[in-house]
Amino acid sequence: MRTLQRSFQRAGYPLKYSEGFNPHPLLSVALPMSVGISSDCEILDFKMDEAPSDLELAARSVTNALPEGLVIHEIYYPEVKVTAIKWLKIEGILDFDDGISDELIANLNDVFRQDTIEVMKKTKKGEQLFDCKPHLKELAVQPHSDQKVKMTAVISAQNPTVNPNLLIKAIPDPWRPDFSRFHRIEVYDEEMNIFR
Amino acid sequence: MDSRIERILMQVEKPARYTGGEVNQIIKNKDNIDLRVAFCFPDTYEIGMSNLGMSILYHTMNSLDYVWCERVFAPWGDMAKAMTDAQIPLYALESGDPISDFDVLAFSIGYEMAYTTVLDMLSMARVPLRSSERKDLTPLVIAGGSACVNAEPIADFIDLAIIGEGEEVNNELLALLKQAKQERWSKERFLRTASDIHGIYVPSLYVPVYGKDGLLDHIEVKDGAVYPVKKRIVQDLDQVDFPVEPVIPTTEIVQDRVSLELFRGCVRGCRFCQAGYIYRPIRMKKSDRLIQQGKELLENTGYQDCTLLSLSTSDYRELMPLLNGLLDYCEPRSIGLSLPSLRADNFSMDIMDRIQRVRKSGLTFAVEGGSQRLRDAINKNVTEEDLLNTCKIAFSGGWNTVKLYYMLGLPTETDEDILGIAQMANAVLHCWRENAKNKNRGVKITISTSCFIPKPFSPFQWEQQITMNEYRRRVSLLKNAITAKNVTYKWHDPETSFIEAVLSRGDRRLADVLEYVWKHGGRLEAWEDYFSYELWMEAFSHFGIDPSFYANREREADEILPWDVIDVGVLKKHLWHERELCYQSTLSPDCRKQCSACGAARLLKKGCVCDS
Ligand code: SF4
Repeated sequence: MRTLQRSFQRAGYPLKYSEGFNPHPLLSVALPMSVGISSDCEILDFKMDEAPSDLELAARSVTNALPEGLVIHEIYYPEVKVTAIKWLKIEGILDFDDGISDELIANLNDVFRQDTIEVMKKTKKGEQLFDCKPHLKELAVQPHSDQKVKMTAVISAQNPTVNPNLLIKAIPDPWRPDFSRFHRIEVYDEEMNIFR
Repeated sequence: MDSRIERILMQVEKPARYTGGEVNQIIKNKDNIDLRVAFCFPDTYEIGMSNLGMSILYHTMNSLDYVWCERVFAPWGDMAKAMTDAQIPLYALESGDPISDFDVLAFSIGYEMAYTTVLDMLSMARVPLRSSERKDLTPLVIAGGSACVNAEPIADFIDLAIIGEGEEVNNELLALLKQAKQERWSKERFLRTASDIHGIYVPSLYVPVYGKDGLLDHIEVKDGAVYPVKKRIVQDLDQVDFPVEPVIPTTEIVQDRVSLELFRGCVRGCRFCQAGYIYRPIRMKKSDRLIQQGKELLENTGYQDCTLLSLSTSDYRELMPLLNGLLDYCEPRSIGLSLPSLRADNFSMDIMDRIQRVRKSGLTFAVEGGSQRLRDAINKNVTEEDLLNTCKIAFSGGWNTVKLYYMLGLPTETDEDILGIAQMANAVLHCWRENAKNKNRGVKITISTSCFIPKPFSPFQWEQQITMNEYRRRVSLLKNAITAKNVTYKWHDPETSFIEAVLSRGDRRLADVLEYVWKHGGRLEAWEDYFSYELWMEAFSHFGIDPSFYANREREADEILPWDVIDVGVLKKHLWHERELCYQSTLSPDCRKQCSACGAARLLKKGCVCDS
């Protein structure tokens, strides 16, 4: 967050600050990511002191002030609230250090085709059994390389949030990958329209 | 990134410490450079990235086109373990390359408790620990920073130490190393030649010889090396390169703000304060230059806070113009300005009034001694009257937290002095009752004590540290004397201070102890999470070393001290004279009233005057 706020500041587009005893910049990430997830599509919600006259220029300038790899694609005035985001398309690369096989792919697909996909999920009330299945659309697993499997899925982004790592947790031990990394591709609303 | 590193990052806390990739990090093409430097900070990322010295030297070294200097910090315990388990050697943040292949491993050591972390980083880098075990010219292991004024405890592990300020001497050293590497010099030849550079100390050229009594008998100088080794300083701070595009961490660090260094050295000469002596002579930066750099830094970094650094901010000659200039910029942008190290005696209404408009923080005063007599003895020129005056202004201005710092165990301290601390707290409380603008908000007064540590190159370098039991007795004396409920008393445990006292005036015989402590898991010991007093005691007894010989022993005037090999500028006889004045409870004038010819001015170029 600080990185983002400072980049706006450096680029000459200071953010608006909250009033009160401990002012903080009015900037929020619509779907905060857990560490280690990369993304093609993040929505930031922020307020500025002054509206930039040229939004495209502003997007370019802030991008220049960001650490390498972070790009502001577009700045626009919101019409829909970020709470309308419902679905999230993700892609995961799963490492299997001992190599992959057709059997493994089939097994993985079977796991996700079951009627329930239950895992323990940490909640405010402690660990609880959670069924991912109703909060999951389209899940496919296919070979990616000798030791890697690619998984694509559309998961519920909020209410409830399905962390992709939960899906990994749902895989029984013998087929569980040695390591996995996820990448966000796109966000959608309830009806699977791309959210902007 | 190495996929093994990617994997372990998922398991550790605060992975952003280990990834690099921040804005303004310096990336070079390794095919086009001659020397690779791993700039190692023996503490966490958050501490190291907050260190102004590191930020400056990262840029000065990288200003050489044939050098690529990268940053390395000590991984926290979870990461260190994960790296060991996965057999990942210590790597540099910029390139992710293992640092064992680098030409120079340069450590910045600001405090003695970091010594075991230095060993740990060498080991994680898979570099042999002792200088004598590293036969090749590279990797060269060097150290700098204020702890190096007495580098003796780590002398066996490093190849050379930079004594003083590194901005210029580092680059001279690197130029020589480049030549040595091209011409395939032996390590011995390189070290002997490097020792002729002003500010470089090569421990292997100075061999301590101990007498039967365990004291240092003499220091044998080898191969006609210079003796003593003179500290290096930057003559003109305005001329030297200062980074206005520092690396901006993506994660929160300790000093998440712009830091401006006002001046080096200190005019005060508090007798317990090593920093007050070793950074002399006094040289200041011009306020217009500081304002310019401050603005550029704020613009380039996007930070919302700016802090002014020096040993005593109130003594900066151009403080008012500086504040005015900075506030003109900061106020309209809601940028906070903080002034640590303000003195109670000339803390003016005006300054407080001005900074208050931006942000209000608590008041902190380092009072150090509980009575006027003791403060005179240590040359801490703060009177109770000054302090109460300042508090009065502050309380009527709406401030309501005050922190008072003291040391217990200062030379000549009596129980009466200690009880004086409680009395002063009561006086501050009384002052608040009389002057507070809004009494409903209450007041918070905190008293903090730590155990005094005698340091090399201070007038108290000959003194004994009080024993830990004596410290505890003094703590409970004070604790019982503090009764008001608005006054909180916090004290530091004496164990760390005791070990620090051993190390700060230690000699080369402690090398084995350091290695033992490291081998048994000692690292990051400035952190309570990791410090183990028992481990240190075990190490001392393993080697038959009595730690109180270093910590609790008073030295004679004519004793040869392990750090006599270094000339920091201030003369030994001046330090001794100051110590005698302490026992007469006599103040010395500060440098502004009268120069006491401490000796530091000898380091200045001909024609330059100290503190001008
Ligand atoms: S030379 Fe004089 S003015 Fe300079 S630091 Fe020493 S005593 Fe102070």
